[in-house]
Amino acid sequence: MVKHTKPKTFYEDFVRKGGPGEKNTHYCPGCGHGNVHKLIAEVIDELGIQDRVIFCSPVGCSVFAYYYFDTGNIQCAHGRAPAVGTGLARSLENSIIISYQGDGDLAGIGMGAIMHAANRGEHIAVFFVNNAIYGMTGGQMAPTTIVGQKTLTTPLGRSAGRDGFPLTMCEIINNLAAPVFIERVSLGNAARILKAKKAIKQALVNQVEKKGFSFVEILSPCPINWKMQPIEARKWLIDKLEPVFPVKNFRNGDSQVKYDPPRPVSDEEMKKLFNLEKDISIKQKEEHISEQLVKLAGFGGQGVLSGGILLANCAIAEKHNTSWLPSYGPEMRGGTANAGVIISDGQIGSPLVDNPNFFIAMNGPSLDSFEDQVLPGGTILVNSSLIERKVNRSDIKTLYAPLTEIAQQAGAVAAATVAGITMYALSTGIIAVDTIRQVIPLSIKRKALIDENLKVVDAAREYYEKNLAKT
Amino acid sequence: MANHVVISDERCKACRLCIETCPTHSLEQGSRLNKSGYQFTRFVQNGCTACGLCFYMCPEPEAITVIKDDGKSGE
Ligand SMILES: Cc1ncc(C[n+]2csc(CCOP(=O)(O)OP(=O)(O)O)c2C)c(N)n1
Ligand code: SF4
Ligand code: SF4
Ligand code: SF4
Repeated sequence: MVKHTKPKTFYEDFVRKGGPGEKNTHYCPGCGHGNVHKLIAEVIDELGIQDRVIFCSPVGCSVFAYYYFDTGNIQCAHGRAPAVGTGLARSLENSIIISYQGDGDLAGIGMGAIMHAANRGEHIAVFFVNNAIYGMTGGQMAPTTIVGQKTLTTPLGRSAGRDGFPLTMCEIINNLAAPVFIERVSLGNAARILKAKKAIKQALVNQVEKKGFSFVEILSPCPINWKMQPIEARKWLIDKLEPVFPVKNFRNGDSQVKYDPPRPVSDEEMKKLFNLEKDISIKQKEEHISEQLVKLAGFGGQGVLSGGILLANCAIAEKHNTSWLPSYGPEMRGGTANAGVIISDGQIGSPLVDNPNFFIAMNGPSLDSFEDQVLPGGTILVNSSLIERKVNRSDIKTLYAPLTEIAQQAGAVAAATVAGITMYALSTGIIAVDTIRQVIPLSIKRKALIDENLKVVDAAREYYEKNLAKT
Repeated sequence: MANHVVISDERCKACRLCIETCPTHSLEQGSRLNKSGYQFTRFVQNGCTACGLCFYMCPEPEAITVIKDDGKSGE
């Protein structure tokens, strides 16, 4: 009777690896990665979860784990397996996520990713293969290289005073509240390897039972870069690494933090978040509109950005596809600002409005900047309260209106762009003035100013009909 | 058939970890080379208990298979 043989979770042949040894790993003789792979594969077999596992492999010698594991596989950017695993665990409820990482990957370049995933208590099993060196790149010092250990970049041995002490990841992660399981194991000999299997199994059982973040650090030999024979390397691991990295369980239980799984926001909550509790009834027009490329520009504080949002919201309310893209300098309030709004019945690609077909110039510098960019046949609406000059071009339509004064007289000088939007609506017919009136109470952040804004709309309409309708 | 281990000659990388581990000294270094140039390990019956320690010590997925005596005679 076969008692121990190659686990079923491994591919029959490692065809991705190719070459003569299609049934062998690419690892050096005596490397610990092979041991860890075997243990993980066996546990996956035992738990019957092969179809649910997604194996996130790192950058490092184990970069090619997908050669071997007949599971889901993603090879992740250096150190980012816990971030990729986070996305997978949160979006694929039934999946079992493994983040397999080396010490350079996890405790060097990926230190931020692992700490935050652990702190959030992500539902992933992390297998951290600590061989105290950068294996793949030829044996440079790792964050876990022990004091005195000779590496390519510490040829005289790591110095605590110069290079810092080795990072002990189990101890560090044990300071966080969310993880449910933290254990350090060793591949020093067969008895230790059997213990390691138990820890790996517990970490995966925790995923099956949806218990939470589980972290297993595995002390593992890299005979090649340690410059040792395989047997000697296992002894060195027990004699030298284990005293620095105590082999023990740090935590085994339930999380102190209740996991709050991601879920879609309900319609009710969405309405609350966007102040949409009041229903509005807006008539949809039958005919399709031509694509509108609208630019509003002025100085910060003139309501350029919020005016753009108002226009975009009106277009959305009338069921058009819409984009809004603000652009402003670091001085947000004091400097210049502009917003591009695209309204279309087709798909919108880039939200950039470089060449508008309707340009609302709120101040002189904006007219100077953008006049030449307006498409031939387009329109410029000039805020004549602040702009004294006329438009130079003759291939476009021009409208002059004292937008700031209209807003000021209605009691909301900051709502001059609302007057501009109203005139855009009247001049193009793309949106109805009634839509603006209905959207203002939903779109405006300062509720105290709703009435004043509505007055601006009425005053702008009056001005337009009296002075501009015939042009 | 008695407890024993099957070494897959071509899969062995001659790290000797299994030999060092076996409590019954049932594994030893062979004299032949496989196609990858490794002097692969040999099983020698010396009271193998099918304990499986060699299997767990071996880093290669398919180099070692452990067979336990199931009381039936022959293969
Ligand atoms: C962004 C990026 N930076 C650096 C490298 C180079 N690099 C490849 S593997 C590696 C370190 C691997 O060491 P470790 O995580 O300890 O894994 P091991 O090879 O020892 O198993 C580095 C720095 C890279 N591939 N990508
Ligand atoms: S370099 Fe080290 S870690 Fe990489 S395969 Fe070889 S022994 Fe393993
Ligand atoms: S199964 Fe046990 S006794 Fe038999 S060869 Fe392997 S280690 Fe030795
Ligand atoms: S442990 Fe595996 S690879 Fe190493 S000598 Fe034994 S059979 Fe060969």
